[in-house]
Amino acid sequence: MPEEDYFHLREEQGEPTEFADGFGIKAILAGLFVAFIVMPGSMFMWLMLGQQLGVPAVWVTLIIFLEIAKRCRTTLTRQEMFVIWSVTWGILGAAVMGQGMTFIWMQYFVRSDAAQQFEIASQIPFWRAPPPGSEAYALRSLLHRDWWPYLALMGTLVLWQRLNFFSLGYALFRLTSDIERLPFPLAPIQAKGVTALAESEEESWRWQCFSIGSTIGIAFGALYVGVPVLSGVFLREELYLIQVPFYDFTVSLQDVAWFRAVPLAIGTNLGGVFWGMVLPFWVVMGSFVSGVIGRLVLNPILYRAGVLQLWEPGMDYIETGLANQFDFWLSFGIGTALAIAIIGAYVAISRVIKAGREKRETGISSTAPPKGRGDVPVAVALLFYVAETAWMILLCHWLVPKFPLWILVAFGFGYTPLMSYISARLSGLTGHRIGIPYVREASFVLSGYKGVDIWFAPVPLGDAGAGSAHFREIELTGTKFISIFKAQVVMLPLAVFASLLFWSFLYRISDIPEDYPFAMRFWPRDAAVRAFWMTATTTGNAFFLQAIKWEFIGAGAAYGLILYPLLRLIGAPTLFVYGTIQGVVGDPAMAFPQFAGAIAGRFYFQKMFGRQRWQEYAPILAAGFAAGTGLVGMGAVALRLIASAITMVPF
Amino acid sequence: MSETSQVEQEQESPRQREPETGRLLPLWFEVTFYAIFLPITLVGFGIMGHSFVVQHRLVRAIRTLSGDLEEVLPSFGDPRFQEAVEALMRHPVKGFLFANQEILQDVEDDPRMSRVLALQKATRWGTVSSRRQVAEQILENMDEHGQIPPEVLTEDVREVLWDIIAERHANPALLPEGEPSEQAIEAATRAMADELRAEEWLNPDRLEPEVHDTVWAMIVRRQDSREPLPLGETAVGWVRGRLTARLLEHLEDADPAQLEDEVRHVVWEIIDQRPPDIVQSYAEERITDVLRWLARGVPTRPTGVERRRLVSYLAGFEKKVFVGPEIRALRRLIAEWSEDENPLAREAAEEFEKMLDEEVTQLSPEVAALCFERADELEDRYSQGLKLLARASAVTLERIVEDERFLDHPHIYQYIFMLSKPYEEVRDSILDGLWLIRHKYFTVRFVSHFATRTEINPVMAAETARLSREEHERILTEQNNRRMRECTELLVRIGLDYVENTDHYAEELQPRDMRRYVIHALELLREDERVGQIAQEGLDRIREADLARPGEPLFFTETG
Repeated sequence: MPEEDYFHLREEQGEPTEFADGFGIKAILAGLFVAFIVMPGSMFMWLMLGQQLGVPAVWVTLIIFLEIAKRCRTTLTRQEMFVIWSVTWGILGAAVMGQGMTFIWMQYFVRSDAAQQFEIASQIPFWRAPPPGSEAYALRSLLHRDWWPYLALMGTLVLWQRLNFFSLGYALFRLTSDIERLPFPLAPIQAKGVTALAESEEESWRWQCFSIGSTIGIAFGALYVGVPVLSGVFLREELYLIQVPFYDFTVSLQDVAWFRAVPLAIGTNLGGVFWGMVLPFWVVMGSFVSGVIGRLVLNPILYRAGVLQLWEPGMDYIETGLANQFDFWLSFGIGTALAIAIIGAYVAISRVIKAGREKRETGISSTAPPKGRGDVPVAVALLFYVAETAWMILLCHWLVPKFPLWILVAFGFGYTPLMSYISARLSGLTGHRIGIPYVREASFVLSGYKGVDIWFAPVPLGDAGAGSAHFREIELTGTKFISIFKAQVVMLPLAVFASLLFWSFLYRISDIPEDYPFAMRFWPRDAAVRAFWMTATTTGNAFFLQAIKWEFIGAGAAYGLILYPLLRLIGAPTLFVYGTIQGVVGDPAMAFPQFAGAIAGRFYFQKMFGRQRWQEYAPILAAGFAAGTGLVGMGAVALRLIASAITMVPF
Repeated sequence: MSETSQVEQEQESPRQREPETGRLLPLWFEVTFYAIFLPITLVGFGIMGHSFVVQHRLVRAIRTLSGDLEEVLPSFGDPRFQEAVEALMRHPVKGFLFANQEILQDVEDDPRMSRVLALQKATRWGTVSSRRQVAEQILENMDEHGQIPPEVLTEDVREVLWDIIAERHANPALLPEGEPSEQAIEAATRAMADELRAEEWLNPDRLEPEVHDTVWAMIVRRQDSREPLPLGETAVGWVRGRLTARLLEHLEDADPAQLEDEVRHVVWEIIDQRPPDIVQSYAEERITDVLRWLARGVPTRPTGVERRRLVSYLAGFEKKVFVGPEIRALRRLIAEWSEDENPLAREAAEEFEKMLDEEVTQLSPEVAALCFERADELEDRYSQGLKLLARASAVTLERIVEDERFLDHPHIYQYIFMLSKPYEEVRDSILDGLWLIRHKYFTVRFVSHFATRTEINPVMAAETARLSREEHERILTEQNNRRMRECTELLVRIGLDYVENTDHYAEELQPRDMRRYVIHALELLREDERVGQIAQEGLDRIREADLARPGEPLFFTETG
């Protein structure tokens, strides 16, 4: 069989040959800056407006430190820049999406109407939140002793998640990147963006490229984000010059006789176009074919065949998508995920066998890591994973002793590694991960478990696939892996401490969510949805189990397993198969801008700049665009925040 | 773009990366790592293995107590019961939780009860399938505006419709377990009487011998079709059976013509009683109206909604066919009974096959009797299993209290929640267990919560594969009422005990807590028609005890 078609993409990414340590005092200072200055703002903004600082804050922090370094007549190497990037992202993630936020959310959820109504509130275990009526709520103290059990548990969970990254995430990286040589098409965006910033003083072509991208991003961001956010300050209703996030044609399409149950929308984020330029061409084509054309053709057929039953005329894009997911595409997607796992196992085993043969013949293994990258033996990483997962299983079992232990073991040593591998593979090929929804929920219900505590238990179910993409980003910047490890060891406790400190402070000064408009508006709805889900293990009424249809899972698996070898036999691009799988599970609306970007990249810009050079430019342009849009977004949100604060003053 | 620098040129034409050929980590580090993590891993797996064994033993003990299709432990004194309880007592908290989890399992997930449900549905299949056939036939001939040719509504069709109407009037909501209430019987009787009275059959002044004969034939004929008993069934069968039973001593070997007065008077006595208020949903009432309109031979013009109502009625049959666990149970019954020596069992297996294909068919009385017998046996085993589990749970709770082990509040909540179970012995065991932990704050708090929960959350009564929304709501309401009653009585007991033994509660429960969770709760419940009397009497007793205790009263004063 011919070689995989994505090997050449890998070769064109320009991997560094030397690696350097990026962790030092600068990274620590950046961490302190983000933890004590940026993080509180991000938290406050999240409560007030439902928006995080996120990626914009990361770029701003990088630029600030770059400028400070220039003023101090020193430089930041790209490795140092990348470690700062990694630290900033990690700390901001801990602020809103991490465990600190969970405290705040739980103190609301326990006392919410939804939890009372669904009879959940009194069933939340002590190791998750103080019981209703606890003094901890009256005093509004996150450090009250009733929270201590959860504090201890939280520390363990955070540690487990990070250890997973360095153990299973690293092992998967070695497998998917070093052995299978997957291209990780989106990894160069971050890596080359950071590299471009690091070279800003030299005004290299990368810096120019980044500047062009950010200028486009600023201009687009002003229209896409700035105008709506700022108009909301002065006008009664926000003004949208461009519909966010898509133009919905689903309902209009229903007027045409053939098209039934077709979700049709065109995404309006220009970032999709840049992504389309970066992603492998055949991945985008595959994604467009399945996500758009496939649904245009197949959905009406499935509807007429009686497969798509939940859809009704009048449903919009989101409702149509959800209904179709439930009836068919969810099960089909599960089948394709299984196909990816089987194909991946075949490719990986083939490569390992080949590498073993090479080593016997030449003494050198083609799967060996590059010199100086800071690798560890895979056996060490896997033993680490086995040890920490075993103890996590025991912890979970101690907290919820009724839950079948074999299911926890299956999660920790079966499902998590398998799904992480599938996710890492798809991320390595298409840039997007995959997940099988409802696995956790279905296992809870089908186990016959009665109770609500299982929903809060630290079940060893996760996806370490994102770790492999992150390791690839680290590698592309020439950063030693040990830098990230050191950064995590130092910054993680800082992140958790700062997160707790500021959440405690915010909670102390006023009850959450009472004084925060976004939280007041959306948290009750979120609480109702979560509480409703939990009733699946109290009433036994699990509607979502009806979404799992074995015949369609089989169809999805057959699709992947038949098409892949067929395309390989005829020498056609197998990335197309992965693209179609991505299109099945992804958002069809985004397929349009990506398609436009891929066509423009392939048939126009490549001709203008040459293939090699254009492939260098595209990720940097995308990185610059993200930075530019983010900057505008952050500025607009900050102005909106100020405006909200002013209007709250009672005079 | 600017010219590339030398660095960039080198980067653009990178050298081939050198693979790492030596050790990735220093030897001392690797050795230390393995020396630490291998034992940690092994210990972890060792503990996991031990936990597997413990969990397996607990599950086995639970299975022993719960029983299976073939047998269940006969009594608490049985040595195997003791053995199973001992296994639970070795890990009392886990044993307690496992026992409760088993009790909380849904009825249809138990293999015995899924057979019971399947057998009950099978015995009613003749009625259900014929009614569905009638409804489909009517719908087929009805146009959008509700017009239907009168010839479609034959005598047989109308008789089926009258049966349906009588059943709908019977209001299963009033059925306690095991036997319908007097009110339900009255309601069903009244419904039948309404229709019969329309024909003026049973007006005492108009009873003629030939009419009397017709009534007699009606009674006897209806006696033949034994109606299946509770778990959601109606009282109509009970009416018929009871009607017959009361007359039985007069009817045996008697000449019907000699009994006209007695028959007349007995029948009139039964039917001439006022039914209670029947609570049906608006949608159900409208459907009944349409059925009555059809049964009367469409005496008036249709209003245009008839078809839609009939479609809703027909949709209800989705819940009457076999679903999920019932299908599996029926298939197993077919497999077992088709090889059985008993010809009735073999006949039943053939009929079950037809039912799975949703054909219209009816079990003969003998086969139906076999199904009832088997269903009763299985339900007995199931209930016995629940009783043993509840007793075992209470025993483990006793050990938990003795050992002063920690019990989290959700477990107490779940334990009290189980007071909704239909079997009195199960509830008694739970109450015994709750009495042991009456001193805990969360026990009193949650008992008060359930006692004052006068209504269910309708959102929880969602439609399921087996139950319509209305049926689910009725079942939850029954359960809630049952639990409410038990909790109210328990509150009274706890209140009295607190007054008499305040010191035992000192640690966790203050008088202000008791006032809030017990006294105020009982005061609220005085107005409730279900438990009002219990609450009032309870309050009176607590007041009396409080005023009689040495020292200051805790809750009441002489005047209030």
